Amino acid sequence: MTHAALAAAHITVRYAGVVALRDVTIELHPGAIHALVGENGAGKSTLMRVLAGARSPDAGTLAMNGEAVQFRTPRDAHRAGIRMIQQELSLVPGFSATENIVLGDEPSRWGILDRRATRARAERAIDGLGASIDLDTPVERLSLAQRQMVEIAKALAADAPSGLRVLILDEPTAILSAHETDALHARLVVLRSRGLAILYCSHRLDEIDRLADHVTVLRDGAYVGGGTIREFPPATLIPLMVGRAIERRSWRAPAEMVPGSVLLEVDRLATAPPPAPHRRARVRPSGAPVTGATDVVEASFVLRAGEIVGLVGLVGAGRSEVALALIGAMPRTAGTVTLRGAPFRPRSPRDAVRAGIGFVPEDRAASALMPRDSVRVNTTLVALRGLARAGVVNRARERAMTHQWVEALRIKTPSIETPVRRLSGGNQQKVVLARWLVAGDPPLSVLIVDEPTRGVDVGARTEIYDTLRDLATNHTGVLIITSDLVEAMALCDRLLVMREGRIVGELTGADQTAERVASLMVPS
Amino acid sequence: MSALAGAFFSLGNLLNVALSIAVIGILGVGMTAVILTGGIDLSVGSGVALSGVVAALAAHAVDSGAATGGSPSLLPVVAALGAALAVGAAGGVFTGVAVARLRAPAFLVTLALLSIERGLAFLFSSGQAVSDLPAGFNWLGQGIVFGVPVPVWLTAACFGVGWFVLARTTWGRWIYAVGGNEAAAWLAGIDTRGVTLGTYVANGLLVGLAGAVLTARLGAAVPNAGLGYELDVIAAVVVGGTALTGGRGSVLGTLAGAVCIGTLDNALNLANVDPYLQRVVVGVVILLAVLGERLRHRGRT
Amino acid sequence: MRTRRAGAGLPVRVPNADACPSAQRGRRCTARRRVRTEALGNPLTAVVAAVMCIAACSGSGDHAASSGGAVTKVVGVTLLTREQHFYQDLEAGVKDAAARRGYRLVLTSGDFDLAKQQAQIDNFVVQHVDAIIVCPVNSQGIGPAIDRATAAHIPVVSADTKAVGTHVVAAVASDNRAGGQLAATYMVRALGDSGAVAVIGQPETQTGLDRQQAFVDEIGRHPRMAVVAILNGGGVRDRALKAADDILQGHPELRGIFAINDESALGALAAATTRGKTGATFTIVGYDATPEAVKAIKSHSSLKADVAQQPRDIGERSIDALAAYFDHRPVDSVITVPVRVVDAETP
Repeated sequence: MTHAALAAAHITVRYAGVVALRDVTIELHPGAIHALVGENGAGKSTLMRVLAGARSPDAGTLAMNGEAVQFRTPRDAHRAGIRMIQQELSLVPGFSATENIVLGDEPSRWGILDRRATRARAERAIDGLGASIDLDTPVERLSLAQRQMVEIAKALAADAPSGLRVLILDEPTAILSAHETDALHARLVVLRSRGLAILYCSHRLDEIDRLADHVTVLRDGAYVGGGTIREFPPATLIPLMVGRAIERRSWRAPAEMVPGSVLLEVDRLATAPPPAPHRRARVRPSGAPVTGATDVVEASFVLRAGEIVGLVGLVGAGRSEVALALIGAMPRTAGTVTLRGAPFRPRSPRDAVRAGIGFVPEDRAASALMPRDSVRVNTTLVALRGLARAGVVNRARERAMTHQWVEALRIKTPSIETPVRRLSGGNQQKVVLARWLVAGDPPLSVLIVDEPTRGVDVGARTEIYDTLRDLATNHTGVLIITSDLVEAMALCDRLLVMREGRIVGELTGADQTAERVASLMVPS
Repeated sequence: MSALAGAFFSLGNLLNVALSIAVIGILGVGMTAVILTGGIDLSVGSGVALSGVVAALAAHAVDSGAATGGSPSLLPVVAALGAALAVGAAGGVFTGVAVARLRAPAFLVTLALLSIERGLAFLFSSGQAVSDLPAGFNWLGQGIVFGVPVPVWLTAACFGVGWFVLARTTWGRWIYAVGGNEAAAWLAGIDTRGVTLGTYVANGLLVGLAGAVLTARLGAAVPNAGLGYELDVIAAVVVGGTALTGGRGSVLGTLAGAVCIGTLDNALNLANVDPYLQRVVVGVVILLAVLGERLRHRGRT
Repeated sequence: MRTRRAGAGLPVRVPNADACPSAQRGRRCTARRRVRTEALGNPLTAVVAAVMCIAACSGSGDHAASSGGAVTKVVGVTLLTREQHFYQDLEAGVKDAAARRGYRLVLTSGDFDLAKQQAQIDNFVVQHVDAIIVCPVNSQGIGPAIDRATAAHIPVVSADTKAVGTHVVAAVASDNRAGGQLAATYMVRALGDSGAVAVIGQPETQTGLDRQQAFVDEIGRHPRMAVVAILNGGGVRDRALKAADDILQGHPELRGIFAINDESALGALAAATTRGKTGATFTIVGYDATPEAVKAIKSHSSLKADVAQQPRDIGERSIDALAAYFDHRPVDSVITVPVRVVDAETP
């Protein structure tokens, strides 16, 4: 039996006393692609950081070809022939591909750059990938996929004594289109055939099925399963990743569910992100690069007063884009939206707010909070106009209103003047929710919540669910976007499943089983 | 030294300091708002010169036109003040549209405007001072009401209104929100472009007012007035604790900053400190103020 | 319109923006041999080309008085600026004298920019002018450019500011020290030889320092008088106003201010007027006798006198010196143009 190119045994990592990885073992073999899957916070990133030398494990060992190794810094790992491609690419935008490929290790003689050797090394690396990239163009003018190629070429050109042996990719296709994804996979297959060991971390289970040889599943920092990809088809991976027994536990009996009037009727909605970099991005609410956004190809659904509808799907299926297009934060290219019987075509989120549609974005820090401002300022942001007369804010009412909602949502904060960044994730999320609940004019008729409990502790999670249920009970239509199937099952009256920019199915009542959802999420 | 201290702390000298920071103070109110949105305005010095020159020319034009018709003496004054405000506001619209609509960097837009407005000031005035302004207009700079010079009253009013707008009104809150997190403000339904544009226009009006006040004080519009004011104003704002990244700060801080720098200048002048050395001292004080702020923040997080 | 001639002599090269057709962008076959041609496709390049074009075309646009004679001398002139009265008058003097003698002028302005002025002189050398008149932007820095002209056998005359560390045919200038002394003498007489005075200076310039120092030296010869403050007014009105405010506040006993130019003097006048100082109790002496200052003097304000330079004379005598040089007559290497005092009685 051949030795693993890189083997990690019984790895344990703690952050500030909290266990992030517990006794995880993984082996990467030369000439094989090894998929790493798990939910957010399952410990994937931590494991990759350990393998790439960015974090020393608190317990456990690393070995290359059977010999024990220790990495103190990423540089140690580089020298041993291990490279990691981060989600956020680490290229210098104004530098050409050539300059980026040799960055930090420029061939030189007596401090003078050796242009010919530089050139040769860059060409060799790009040729090795079979990519067609203009070596002289500043990388900021390349597409994201091309930049990623440059990043991989940089790894290949690494001047390690033994050459590159292990390549680690963190969500490499999160920012790529389907076409670009295929191209990347073709390259990875070539690299595999040359004996490279590749660790491939992705949320997209369909990709893993096509590409990987082995798979390892992590959950809550622990190894919960793995083997060859044939033993673990995608439909079996989802229950493993989620862990808890997934079953529908309705929060109210179907009898209690009084079908309200139709609030929102979405008919064949489609979007196309502006082609970067030609057009300057507007405020980018999701924080994601515009080119990385998935086009919504076709989305049709109905939202009624008093129901909670879940929009589920794999990352990159286009769920957030549906929400952004609905509120006018992203251009709509086709389709109609009817709000309470009237056509609705918002030009900016402002129009949506005026129509009584609220939106809680997925990335709180980047798109929802003004982190250095107080709980009060963040809570009353939307409702401020209603708290003012002739433009002058009624401060007593503002404070009273804030106190009222801080109590109602049980937001734990030393005072309403505390900067919101000092609150825990759960309390921050409650502040963002409160912002929309405070708004009384016009009354909130639709609330769209993208990932309601990301980065939220368990206790606050339940309270946020309660808040959303109360909201529905009071006849607001709630649309939840979530990657957490347990959450979707526990919270929603209906589930809409998205795949590759389309709503491919709707599950109600007894149909809402993990198996049905998983089979719709992943193309068969 | 005690004689010096006496000279410094006399009521007369305090008014003197207040008078000497009047123009920088008025500009500081607008600059604070602009910087709170995450922007900057480098053109204020040139804007002061241009609005002063246009105000003086307008006063002359109305005066000579009215001389034939037997005029009320108030007309040239109104024309001059109106012209100054209009020029300032026009500069604000230019910057605001470029920054808010076209999303051009404020630094570059106002750097261009700095050059354009200075050039226009020289062009319109043929490089010469425009003097012989109506007495009513000069009252804006030289008049005294209840023992306090008019520019000091105007500056106090600007700070008062500026503080109220920023601290107590929806518009003020939105200015902070745009500077604190533009994406969040936009998603919360705030008209971020409108807020930014409005802020630059308000700043422009204050530039026009400052130009009128300075011109009235000098009794003449000089095209090379206001050279380097942008740096003095930004220094006052920054020393006053407003973050250049936006979303954090207040006009009261700016008032403290302007008073601090104005007082320092005045004290150094009273003490007859070598002019070369004065510049060094002022620079060091700005540096200390900014570094102190940094350290205070680091200590907290 | 001001003419920028810096690029006048250069050939205008229109960059080949299409060296790489856009369709091939991203392919590396053609790209390898290409050395960043795309940089030339930048819109900026077009702007630069356009500016160079304008510069080249306008190069011949500003030639003043000319005559048809075959032996016409061409004189290149680079002023310090065209935005001040002083240099406008100096320019007028040069033009008049040149017109009388039938010289053709190439007029430019350094606009306080040393590099620009050096380029202008180098341009004159390339154009083979017969002589150069320069009002140096910087007395030290202009030397090498003058040396290059001299090496090309082109005579150079400096007007106003002197050039240091180089050789000119003649240096024509007002006597700034004499001016400072004259101002002090007037101040002493006006105050009855006693009292405290202050100076609003501009220590960044040599002329400012000369005037200030001569004034202070002369006052020092009068035991009952004292210079109690010397502040920097930067030579501009609003800064001078602030300096004067501080002086008047700190020294209530002050009886007079000497300002090293009229912008500073008018700033001081505004400060004095605001404080109720009139001609009866206060004396300001300015420098340059600009029309605005003269008007203030005639209206019996506290600005009572000015030291007047004679920029027209400086201009005329610069041309005269060149004429003497052309005729192989002896030329004085330093030509001092006298200054005089202007007060309310001066006609």
